Amino acid sequence: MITFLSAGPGTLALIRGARQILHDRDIAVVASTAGNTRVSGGHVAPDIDAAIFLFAGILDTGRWWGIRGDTHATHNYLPRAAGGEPFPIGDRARAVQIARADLLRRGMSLTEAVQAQCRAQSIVATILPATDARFGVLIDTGTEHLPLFEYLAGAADDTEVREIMPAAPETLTDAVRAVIEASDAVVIGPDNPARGILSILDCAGMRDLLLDRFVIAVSPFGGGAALDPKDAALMHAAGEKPTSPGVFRIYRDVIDVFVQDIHDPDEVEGSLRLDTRLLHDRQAESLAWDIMTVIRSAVS
Amino acid sequence: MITFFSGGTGTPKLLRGMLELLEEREIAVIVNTAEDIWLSGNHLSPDIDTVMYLFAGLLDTDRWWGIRGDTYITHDLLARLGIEEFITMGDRDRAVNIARGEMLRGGMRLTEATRLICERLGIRATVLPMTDSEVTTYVQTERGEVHFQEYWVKHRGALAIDGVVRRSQEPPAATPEVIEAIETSDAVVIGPSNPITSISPILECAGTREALRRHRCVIAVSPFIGDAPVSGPAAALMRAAGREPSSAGTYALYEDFVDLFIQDTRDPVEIEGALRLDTLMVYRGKSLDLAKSIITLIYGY
Repeated sequence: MITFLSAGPGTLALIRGARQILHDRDIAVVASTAGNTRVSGGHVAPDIDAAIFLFAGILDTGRWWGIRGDTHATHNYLPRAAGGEPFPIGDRARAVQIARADLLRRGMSLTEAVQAQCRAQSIVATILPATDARFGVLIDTGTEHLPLFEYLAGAADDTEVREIMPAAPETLTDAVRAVIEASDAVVIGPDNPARGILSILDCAGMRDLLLDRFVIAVSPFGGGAALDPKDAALMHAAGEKPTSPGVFRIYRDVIDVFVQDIHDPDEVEGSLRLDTRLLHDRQAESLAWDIMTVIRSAVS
Repeated sequence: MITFFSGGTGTPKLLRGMLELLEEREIAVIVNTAEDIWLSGNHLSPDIDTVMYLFAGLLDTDRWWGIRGDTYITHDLLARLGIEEFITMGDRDRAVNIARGEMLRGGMRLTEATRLICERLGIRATVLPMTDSEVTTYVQTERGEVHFQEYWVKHRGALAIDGVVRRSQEPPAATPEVIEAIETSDAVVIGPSNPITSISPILECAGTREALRRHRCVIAVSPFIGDAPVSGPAAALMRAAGREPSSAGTYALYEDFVDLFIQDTRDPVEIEGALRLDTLMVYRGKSLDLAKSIITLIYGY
């Protein structure tokens, strides 16, 4: 089994590619809970939902969150009722959020609720929240404290990020521990560490657990794509530059192989150079293939 | 101005007629909120919504609740995900519930939240919740106490009931807005809504009944013809509350403040001094006729 630490579009694209090579039952996804928040009475968990929707075949892969072709009757009507939401929630996605809030109200842990939701959608892969934290990190913008996903999906590009305020200290869940212990390798996909992976690594016990595994991480920077201002702001707030060396410094103690793009001008010593661009699914499949080859040769 | 006491059925039909005859600003409605419930994380206020949607021209007047032409995408998917919302919640209807839920979570009074939503929906009438505190009507059944909405909507009134109770953290009190509306009105009209679950909760709010007693012109319309209500579960609820399910039982609840009691021309029950009118508002024209008669009674022309 291969476990993906997932927090953003890069990893989701890579998982989509990996599904062409691996059977779903051999894939586990540990999704970040840093973006979790409550909106309109529902429980929003963007990284968890994105993984569920991906495996259910309904993910909107244009923006890598929400459901493809979803309608927005409630969201569009809210302003007429003197209401409003920080980002557009589709009617079907809302049902998933309401259902999870309902399961949590009935006393389920987040892990149990997500497992129940995966069963309801007949998902064969293992999808687990990184922690049982219902609420994720907050972004201190200087004027307010925005939930991370509200910042990512709703705030202006030039919004200041003074500090990433962590959720209450979290420990690893038994389910995550079990799935990582049963994995041949752990893959950290090409996403900005500050938008979720860092929160996963900060769970008490997580870095120790990864030390015993083969871990391969892909840098999200340096592939030639223009740097997203929010990605830059988040990395700076995390105390690093938005570059491959910056990402490497965050991961170095837990990873065995660091992958950076063939075009990346910033040199990280000992890194593996691959084409990491994920502009279409062929590229994702190709990168997944390369990563599986590395894993196979390392752990066999 | 005329102030109406309203539940979710009966009185809104009278309001439909009033809307054609009065300037909307001259109408205030004090609405029962004892059927409010937090559902799917948001705040459902069935009677307030019916009255608001009526004034906004949005009401589905086939059912007398919900928004005409609404979709049910979230509700239907929830059912497939194993979450049965016992109320068929439309997507637009849900938006109103979400907006209100967020305002209440933010610490706003229900009166203020209702005012904001009405303003945005372009409603010029004054729609007032009976109180700002949470109070809930439960019916007592063999299985214990059941929320009224659950009894009436989920079980369609098919449970045997032997009591009706109101539960609240603190005794509910009328808001200053409610008292002011009553005091500044030319007349107060208690519409033909369920006396036990729609009107009594309003009357039980501290200050309301006293304000009615002081008022010179309180008109009540009976929702009964014989021992059968015009619509809804009123008979079973009247019996469960130890009242006779008839105009006589209704009159007994209103006796201390009512100045004029209206019953249907077909009602075999005799109430001394009551006025007989056609109260069966089966279509628009009938609503209009009854409204016209009541306005004539109030203003004398």
